[in-house]
Amino acid sequence: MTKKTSALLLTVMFLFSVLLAGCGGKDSAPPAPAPGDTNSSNASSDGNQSAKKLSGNITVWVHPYVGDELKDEMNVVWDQIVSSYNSKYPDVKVKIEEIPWKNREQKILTALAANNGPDVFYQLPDQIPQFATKNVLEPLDSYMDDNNMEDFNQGALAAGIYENNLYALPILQEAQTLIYNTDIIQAIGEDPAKLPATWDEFNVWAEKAVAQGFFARDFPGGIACCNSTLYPMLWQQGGDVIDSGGKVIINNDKGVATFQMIKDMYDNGWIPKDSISNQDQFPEFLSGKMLAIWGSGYSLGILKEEGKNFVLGSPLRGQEESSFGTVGLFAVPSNSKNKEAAVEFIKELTNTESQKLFNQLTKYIPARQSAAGIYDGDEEMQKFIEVAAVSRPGVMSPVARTIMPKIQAEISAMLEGSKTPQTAADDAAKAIEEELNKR
Amino acid sequence: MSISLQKRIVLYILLIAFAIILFFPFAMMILGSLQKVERATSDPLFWIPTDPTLYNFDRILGRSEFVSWIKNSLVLTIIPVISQIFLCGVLGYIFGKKKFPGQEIIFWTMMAVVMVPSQLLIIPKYIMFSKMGWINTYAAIIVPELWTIMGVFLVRQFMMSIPKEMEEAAYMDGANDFTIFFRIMLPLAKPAIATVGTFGFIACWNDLFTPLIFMTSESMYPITVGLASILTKEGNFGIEMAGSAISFIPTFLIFIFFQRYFTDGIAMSGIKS
Amino acid sequence: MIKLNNTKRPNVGVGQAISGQPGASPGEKLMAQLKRNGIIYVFLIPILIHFIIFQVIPLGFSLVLTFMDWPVIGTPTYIGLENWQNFFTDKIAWKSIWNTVLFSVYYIIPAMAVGLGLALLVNSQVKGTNFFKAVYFLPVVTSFVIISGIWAWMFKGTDYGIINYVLSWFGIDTQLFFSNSKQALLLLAGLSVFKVCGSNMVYYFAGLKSIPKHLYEAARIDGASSWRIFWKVTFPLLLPIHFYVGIMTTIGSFQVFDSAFLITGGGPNYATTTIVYYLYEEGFTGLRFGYASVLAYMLFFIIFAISLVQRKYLGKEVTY
Repeated sequence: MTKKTSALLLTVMFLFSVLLAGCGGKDSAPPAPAPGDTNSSNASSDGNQSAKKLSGNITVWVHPYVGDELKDEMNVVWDQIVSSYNSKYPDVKVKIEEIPWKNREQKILTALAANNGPDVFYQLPDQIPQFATKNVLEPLDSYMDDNNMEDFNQGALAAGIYENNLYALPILQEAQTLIYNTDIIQAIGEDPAKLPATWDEFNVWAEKAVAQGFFARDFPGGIACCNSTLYPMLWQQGGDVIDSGGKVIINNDKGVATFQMIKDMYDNGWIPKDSISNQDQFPEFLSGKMLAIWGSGYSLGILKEEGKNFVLGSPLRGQEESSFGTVGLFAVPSNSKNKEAAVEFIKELTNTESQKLFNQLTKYIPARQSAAGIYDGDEEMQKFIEVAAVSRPGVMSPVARTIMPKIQAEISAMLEGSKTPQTAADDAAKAIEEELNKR
Repeated sequence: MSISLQKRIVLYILLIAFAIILFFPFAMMILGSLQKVERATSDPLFWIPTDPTLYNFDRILGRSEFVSWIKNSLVLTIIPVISQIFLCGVLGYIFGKKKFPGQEIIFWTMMAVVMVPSQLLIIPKYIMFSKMGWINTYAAIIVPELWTIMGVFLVRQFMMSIPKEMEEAAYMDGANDFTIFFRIMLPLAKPAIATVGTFGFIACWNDLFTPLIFMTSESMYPITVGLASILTKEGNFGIEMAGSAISFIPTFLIFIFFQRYFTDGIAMSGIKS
Repeated sequence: MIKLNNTKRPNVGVGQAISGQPGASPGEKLMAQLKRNGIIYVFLIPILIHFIIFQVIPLGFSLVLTFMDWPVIGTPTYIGLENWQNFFTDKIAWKSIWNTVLFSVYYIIPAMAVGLGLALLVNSQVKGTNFFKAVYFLPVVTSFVIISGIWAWMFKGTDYGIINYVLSWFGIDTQLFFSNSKQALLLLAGLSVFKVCGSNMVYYFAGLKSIPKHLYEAARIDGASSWRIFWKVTFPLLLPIHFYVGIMTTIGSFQVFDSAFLITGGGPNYATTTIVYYLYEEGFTGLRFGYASVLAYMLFFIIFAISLVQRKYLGKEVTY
């Protein structure tokens, strides 16, 4: 290219982009917290509900929480929730849109960035701090005076709180624990009625199973890192990634011990050799190669459908009893054009009645105590509810998502043998600190 | 001309060997779609159905939105493909056969811009389209795809190899360049244009990413997004295979249809002498 | 190479025609110009406008973003060259560029060679080539998700993975494949070759069909062997196709994303973190769109430089 033309071209490009960025910027400026907003919500909270006059439209983005065979039932649930909401706020038009799980984050972010997003969307706990620090989420505290907050499972509710502000309300909880293959338990001469409660007990079983050519358990160390792999083990050993004071402690003695444990499991053949990159070892468990799998209510459903013999165990105790369990929450983006109606809708979505309807169909654990009754008499779900009580929703930090691939890389380097557990843990800590220092 | 028997045998061995390798995923898709398996197992042959069933197809075809998904896919594919065939043909001619100042720089700037990963441009596009009111409309998918620089590039490469004499002779006869394009160049570049059509069809039909971002209501989804919307977070092996098999059919038919144009070739041996 | 102020050839200028360049008889010249080049004005101008709206503006937007800290919702703040500076100290970014280059080495030439090989096979004068051509095209049409799922399943790094099972017949130890940081990238390249060779075959096949038959006959009369004919006649005459396929494959190679996204998640130990995968993560997981844009521009510079080189060596006009 000649200099002249390329310079010209660049200038033109620049002009256009400034133009676009200019309008984008104006529009996407965070709506200054209008005094009217807070006033009206305060007024509403000390007045009676029916006094509140809300109108306009809200768009709610949900996901396929059930398989397509239950799709019609799911739509009935949405309709019931919306009509209950409309009986209080008849002038608000609610549009429920079901968004595929695939690339959901990208879709939501893109739409929000263009100021054209939903008014209510589904959030997972490890994203909330990140979105909150970027001012993507509307703080909900000022709207909650009339909402029964005590009734929420406090662990689930905590997933929506970051730095003492509430950003999302939970609708569901999931708990993960070990599920054992009964046939293998019998093959190694143990009793399915007396499952291991601690790591020490599990290790005895594991050795027997491995001696007979089975894998002891799963460790899908690929993309699935770290919520279902490293973290529960780390917590069970009494360690953590970042402590409550914001200090990175993944490489303290407990952290290193956990790394060592994983390394030993790998070297001794307790977990498959492809655990470095594997995303899902459920197939191994399904085909009877594996003593135990770390799973949730979903895994249980598949096992039942396939007619497998299995028994539900407890998450193992090391120093502490702990597990991972995600929480599903609904949040309102800070650029919603109808925040008040949106927040009222979240309240409706997460009230006792809606939680019952929703979780009965989706087989998740309700996030409200008053809705837990739907699983009365269901032993397996009672077990999951028990586990949920000691479950944590992940690492609550703005960097929760971004540090996972970094930790995963260190673990894979360790399993490959290019790093010792100590250096892998140290390097992971360094990478986390770098992330924390980034803008 | 004839080929020796030995050579023929070697050729067939090679042809068949490649066929087996490249046929494998397809076979797995078809067989996998015929059984009710939600999750894969570690048995190497789990995808071979012991009890073949059309359950998965029933689930997909039974969806009330299925017809509108197919309709959307057709709209979002056929319009861009027709337009691409025409515009890439014209532009290939302009860039391959014409001479005008700035030709090279315009062409290579266009080529350069394609090299920026599309993942990143989705946000500015979304901002723009939402200002234009294009979100959840066909326009957001169709209009940007009306022509593609890759298609232009392909036709241009072909046009460049067509001897200049043909054009000159036509000018001498008083034809204008529209006539030359439609009467001479377009027929000659048929294989290239058929290729543009085939790949355009495949790209538009299989595009999941763009409509996934720009379409927000189920009634506007093309089949790719529709199939993705059936799946729960954990997926479903059988449904995924059946879905792929269904969306595979039209693209493959298009390939077979356009294939005869590839085989025609440019009857160039006669032109030059 | 481009002369914008080209006054020697009064007949060919778009610019001149619009500005009404003084000439002997302007009206006549304009008519002649329109007759010969009218098609340029009718089509190129709308296309340029379309190009600016749908390509240049979004691109310019991301250029501006590289100087900004943009918190998704809210006003971007100008931070100067910080994003660009960060790039130079970002080890993972450099690693991802290196991985991408390595991927290209594993991928570009094999994808072209296999494509050409398949085209030669289906162009041979035996029966049933149309059938084989259709079969070879199957992976192109089959969805990438399915193909990569199958690839991951075939190359499972345990002794019950099917490829490992086959290797065991030859006494080869169980390979870790995607769990081995030395093999993972190679396998992703293999997957891409597998997926794309059918389309390269179609391009080459079209090219082979357009080579005049008399050239082969002339060579054969001279007594050249098939091998020699291939290298002396076929291969050089495919130059425009080599050029096209080369550029397409290069662009595809540097933009590789899906397979890393679906199969390896960039691992093990960053071994398959390609630049587009990394920028996607930085953008949509890290919410650092400014920095992700820097990565995109870096990628752009690299591909652009390579394409210029390819253009120099492959982009010549071929005359038969």
